[in-house]
Amino acid sequence: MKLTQIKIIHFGKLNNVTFNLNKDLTIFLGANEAGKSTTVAFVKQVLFGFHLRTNKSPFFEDYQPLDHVSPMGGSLTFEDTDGTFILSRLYAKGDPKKGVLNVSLNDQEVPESVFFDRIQNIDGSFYTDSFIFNQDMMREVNGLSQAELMEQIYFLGASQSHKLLDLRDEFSNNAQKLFKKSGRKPVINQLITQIQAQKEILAQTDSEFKDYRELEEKLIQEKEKLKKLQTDLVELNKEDQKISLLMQKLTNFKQYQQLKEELQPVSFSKDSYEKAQSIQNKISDLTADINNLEKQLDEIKNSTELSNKDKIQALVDHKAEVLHWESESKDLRRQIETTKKDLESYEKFQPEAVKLSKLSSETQAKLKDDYQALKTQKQENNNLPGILSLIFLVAGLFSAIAINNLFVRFLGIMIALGGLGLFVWTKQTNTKKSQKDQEFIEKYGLDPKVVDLNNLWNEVVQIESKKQTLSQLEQDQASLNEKIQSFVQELYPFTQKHVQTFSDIVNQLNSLQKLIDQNNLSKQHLNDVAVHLQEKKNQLAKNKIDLSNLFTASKVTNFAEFSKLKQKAEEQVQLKLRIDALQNDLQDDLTQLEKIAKDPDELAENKAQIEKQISQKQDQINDLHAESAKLENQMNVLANSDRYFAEKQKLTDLETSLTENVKEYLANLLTSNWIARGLDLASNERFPKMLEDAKKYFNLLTGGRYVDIQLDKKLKVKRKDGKKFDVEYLSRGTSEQLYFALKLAFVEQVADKIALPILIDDAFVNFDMQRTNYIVRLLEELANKTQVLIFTARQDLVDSLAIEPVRIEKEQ
Amino acid sequence: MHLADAHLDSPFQGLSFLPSNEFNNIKQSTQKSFTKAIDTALDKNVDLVLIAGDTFDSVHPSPQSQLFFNRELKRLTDQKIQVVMILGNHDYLNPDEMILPQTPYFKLLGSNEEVEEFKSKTKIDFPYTVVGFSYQHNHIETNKISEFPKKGDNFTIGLMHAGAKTTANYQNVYAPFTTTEIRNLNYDYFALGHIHLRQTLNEDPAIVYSGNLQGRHINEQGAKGVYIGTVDETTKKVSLDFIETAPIIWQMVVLTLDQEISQNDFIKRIIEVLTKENNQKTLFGLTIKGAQYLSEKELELVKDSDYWLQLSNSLNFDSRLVKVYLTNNEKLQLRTADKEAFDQAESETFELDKIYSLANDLSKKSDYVAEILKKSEFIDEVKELAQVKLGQKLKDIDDEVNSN
Repeated sequence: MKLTQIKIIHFGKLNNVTFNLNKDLTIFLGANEAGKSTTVAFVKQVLFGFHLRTNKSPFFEDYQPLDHVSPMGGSLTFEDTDGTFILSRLYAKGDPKKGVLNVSLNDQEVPESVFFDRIQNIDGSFYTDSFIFNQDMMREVNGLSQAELMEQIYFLGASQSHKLLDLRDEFSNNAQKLFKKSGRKPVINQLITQIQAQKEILAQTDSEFKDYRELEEKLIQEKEKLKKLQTDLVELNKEDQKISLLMQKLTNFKQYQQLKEELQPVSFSKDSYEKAQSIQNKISDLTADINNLEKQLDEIKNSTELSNKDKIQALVDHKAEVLHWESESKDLRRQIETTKKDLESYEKFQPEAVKLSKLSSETQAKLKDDYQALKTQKQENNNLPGILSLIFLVAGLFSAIAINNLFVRFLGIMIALGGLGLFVWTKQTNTKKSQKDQEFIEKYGLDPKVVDLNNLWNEVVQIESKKQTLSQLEQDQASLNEKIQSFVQELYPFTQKHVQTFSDIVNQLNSLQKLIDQNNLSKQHLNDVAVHLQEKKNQLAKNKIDLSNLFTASKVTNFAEFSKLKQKAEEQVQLKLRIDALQNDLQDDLTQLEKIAKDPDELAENKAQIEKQISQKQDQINDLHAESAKLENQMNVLANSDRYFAEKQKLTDLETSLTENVKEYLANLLTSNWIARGLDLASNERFPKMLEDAKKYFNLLTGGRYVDIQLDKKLKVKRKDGKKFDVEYLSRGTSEQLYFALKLAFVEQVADKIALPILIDDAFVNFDMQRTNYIVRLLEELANKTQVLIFTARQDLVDSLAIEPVRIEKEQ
Repeated sequence: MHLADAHLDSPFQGLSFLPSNEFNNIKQSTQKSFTKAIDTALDKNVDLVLIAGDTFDSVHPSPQSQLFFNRELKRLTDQKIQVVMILGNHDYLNPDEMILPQTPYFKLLGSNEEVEEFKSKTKIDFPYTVVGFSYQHNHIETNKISEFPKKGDNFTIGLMHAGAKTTANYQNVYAPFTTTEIRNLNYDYFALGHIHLRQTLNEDPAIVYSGNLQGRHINEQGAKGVYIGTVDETTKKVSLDFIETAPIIWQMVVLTLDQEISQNDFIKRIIEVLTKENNQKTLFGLTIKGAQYLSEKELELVKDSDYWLQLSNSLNFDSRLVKVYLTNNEKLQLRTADKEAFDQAESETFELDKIYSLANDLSKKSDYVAEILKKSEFIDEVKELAQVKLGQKLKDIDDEVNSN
């Protein structure tokens, strides 16, 4: 659509003005304050309403419509292929602040949308931002962002394009969170670093098996070393032992030498010694014998001195008499005892007789008479009938019971009865006689029936006789004892012993007899001993001479010396034996030992040396053992290690994680790009084209000094020399050129969808001539595609465009 | 027995969020699987064990792994079981630097990277030849098949660590071969290693990858183990039995959403699809198709590894959910005109070069990133994620508009 006419009734400082416009490029020429900007505002406000106060385009609202004039407003005439649109907007009191818009197409009133659908229903700010260029807007170049530009462009494309743009940004942001080209924090950046690190760790772990083999190799070597060391050690130990042995032998050798020095010849005859010894023994025996004999001789001499030998002999001679006394004494004692016993027997068995003997002679006579009287009466008493009667009784009873013959039986019974009768009769007669006896008993205590006084009388005589005998015997005993006692007294001075019995006396007599016998014998023995003693003395003298001879022969003075000599000889023999033994022992080493003995320190030094070596070897072996154990342990650790797997797994896990994240990242990026591309395509690829154009225009406007525009979150430009600049570092002129380039490119891109004129209001104030020339060329080119209205006070611009300007005159 | 790619020491991917005891248990599975393979060989008293390379995950195996390997092999050789082994592109070790059984029952084949023949007899004197070579570099670009000798009278086994020739030249660095070339050798059996997916390239004669012994990430799914080949001495035909040795498997399951769903129902359905596939200890990956139907909250939840642990408590065998993929199965919700623009934008921005240029700053900083960018699966995942992200956001905008 082309704006062909602007008709202002009242607007700002303009009243009743009509401008007819070219369909391509129209230039309004007017002095300052002539109403150029008011015209620009008019076009915008008729299209989108009066009083539109937005933050985005504050500048228009400085041009308040003059509300005291009524009606305010005017109309715009657009032409396109379908015909002519007239948009007239008027405001009178009571109208909405936007004013009242009437749209007609080919003089017929139509709904607004018929017109606005053709310009994609853009709003006022869209139009202001995109189609109107003035000083204030040019300064906004810093605020340009891809987002806004794109949003504005995509507004023409897909439905929901703002949401899609959000989505595109969301995906893009999500991708950025995962990875940044030069970042550390995003997950993928981290993972890449970690993988690199893990690979290095793994590379170290890779060598586990190599390490294992190396350890194994080392272990084998160490074991071999160990074996060699152990062999060496065995050799050294042998050597050491040998030296130890030599040292030991050296001691023996020294001893051997010493002993050899001690060795000296000794002349000693064993036979002589033994002879001397035996003679010595004989001498001592003989001496002992002689002493003994001399002692005996003395004893014998002493014992032969017996003083009252004769008196003792006399006493000893009474021995037979004493023995006689002994038997006599025994005899007497026995007789006394016998008599005493007899008398005791009388007391026991003839007490009546004893009683009688104790009576006085008169009593004895009276008794004799009484007894005679009683004796006569007693002769009548006969006991025969009694005895007969008993015989008859027994015989009769026997025949009555034992014999079968009846007659005999009868006879028996008769005899028994007769016997019984006789017995009874006898008994009665005896009882009468005993009364007189009773009286006798009472008088003398003797029963005349029992005692035969005549006999008793004889007994009494007997007792009297016995008593006389006893008395005689006791007199004899006393006289004998007197004799004995006097003999004992005679004996006492010789025996000095008290005697009790006859055997004591006999014993003493025997001893005395022995004494006498010995004395006699000793006298004879004394001679024998004296002879013997002389004999022994002779022998002793001879032996002593023999001994002396032996001593002289062996060059000793006495036996002690001889013994010493013997000991010495024996010692030498022992010495010789030891020397022989040592010599035997040392035999093989003797020569060596003789040499060593001269410098024994060398050997010790040698030994110390070897022992030092042994200890060194031992240390080495210990070290090797420890080392081997360490190696084995390390091998074991490696053999059981799943570190390699673990590290590899870790790497794989990191890689898997990286894969997942890269997938996520790429999917986000891809989605974002997909949306962007979709929007591009839906918007007919306006944005990329716009960017291309903008670059071209910018290049053109800067005379080729700038070659590229990068429009991302932030706007950047690239100079010909490759340097990139942020917009804020550009000169004002350059930044305005950039703005122009972008905006013009944009409008050009949307021109097919939003065919509205571009309004340029004194936008080139800061452009020098050359830049102005550039822009003029650009505008000319642009005008071929879209309608351009330029409002300027610069005549030179008009001249260079070479078209007739529309003049805006200041009102009077 | 034919086994390959034990990858001892190999790390696991995508399990870093697991509690350490749980992870320790899982990490032992590599050795456990190997031990099980040896147990199987002993149990079946096999005549020959073929180890087709990549026994170790790197040229710096840990002593622990080497000692473990040596110990396990000794169990075989002690029983006079012949072992023939080659080295692969991961374990191209110098044999002198390895701990290997010193016995005639162990043979490291072609250790100078040259094709070598090994002749022996089975326990019943059936003669056989094993032909193969070991790696001494990480890449072998030459055609090694041409170096393999002509088949003799013996039953002949090829043993090789290699990848089939592809059109992408940079991939043809693992002794590239074509199946036809191998077939033309007419060996009785060809035991291959390198490719972790168990597969038979040719039936007769058998040209076989036994696959790796234990899956280590979600792209190594399903049962892993060894092949037991039984040879008919007269016909010289081989019949193969697969014996599973891996104690843990990885498995991918799919949950398709076709409308918005409450959080409770959503969780229920996840557990449902996982339980259906859970027959042994399994590490699950879950693809949610129609992820755009998930609310922002559900999306957060399903991406949260703590939540995976919580979910796994409902699974038997100690199985775990360890990975979730989201895909968008619907075009963007946009006005027709905009949709065209966005579709075009998608095809433009999703171009590989564009993505590379987006990732340029990043890949310059990290070789690892540069490497993963080369993987088309990774790029696909990025694209899918971008689709889910935008789809989900647009749905939100749409919801907002509708509710307004």
